[in-house]
Amino acid sequence: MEVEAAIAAHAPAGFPVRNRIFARSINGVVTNFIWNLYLDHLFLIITQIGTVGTVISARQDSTFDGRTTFTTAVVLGKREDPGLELASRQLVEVIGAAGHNKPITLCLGLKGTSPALVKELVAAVREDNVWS
Amino acid sequence: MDRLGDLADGLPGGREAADEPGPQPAALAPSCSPRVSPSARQRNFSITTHDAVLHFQILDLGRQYFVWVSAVGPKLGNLTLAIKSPADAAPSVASLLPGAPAVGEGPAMAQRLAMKLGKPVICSCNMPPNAPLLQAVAERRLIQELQLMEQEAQGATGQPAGGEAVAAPPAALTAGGSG
Repeated sequence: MEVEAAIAAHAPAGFPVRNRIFARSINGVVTNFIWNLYLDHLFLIITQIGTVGTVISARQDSTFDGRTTFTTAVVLGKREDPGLELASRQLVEVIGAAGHNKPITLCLGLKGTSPALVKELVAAVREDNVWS
Repeated sequence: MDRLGDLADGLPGGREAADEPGPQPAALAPSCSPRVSPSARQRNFSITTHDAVLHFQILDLGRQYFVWVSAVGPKLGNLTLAIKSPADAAPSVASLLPGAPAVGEGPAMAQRLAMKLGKPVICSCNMPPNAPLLQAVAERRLIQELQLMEQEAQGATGQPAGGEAVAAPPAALTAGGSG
């Protein structure tokens, strides 16, 4: 099936970077999820607008009581946008929960950031990712 | 998450108890959005020169490109955005990795690619220092593949590229005149 072929890994056998591309139709908008996993970094682009949109950097910290959390910072684009902050925090949390502990560059090119959209993004990232 | 904390405040154990695993929160609900065919296209390939193996990634997002090239393995050592601005003939460059300044060959290559394509380019260039020939081979191959992908994209949508002069097809003549 066409869609399954599109979801399949795009890298030729032996290509050193793990790359997956998925897409969902969220409220009728095609939303691309492009995953690139390097040895030292995860580069994830989620876009509805054909560009990287807002670029967010996330680094893992250890808290004093032994837990790990991520700190996020906007590198390029809208700062202090609560919808984007919510989206990036939750997405980074899901990625951390999957066991990833290297730096993350998360790009969000979204047409809006409603809580409903964020919920769909988080679920999509949990279900289809570079480790699944 | 904050709401959970607020609720837990009134319970024995307080906020600490909110950290214990409890009933599945709404955040773990499955997605109800159908999977569709992606509109972004990525090409990954490697070439072997007599010096080194070069790995390439080219991602066409539609209105921007991401390009990764490495002769030193699967690392993302730097990340530079080159984007045209009305203020300058040359595209402006900015590093997208905190703590990694926009130095080295990456920014210059990002600029050249952005000028050639007429679209913003995010570029990660991971080459050994003092290897200008290898750098040139990599850049030439990138430009070839990028132009090919741009042509394919134009063919699919029928729209002209941003940076290269394309002769506009003659307007169709209609009997009634244009409205």
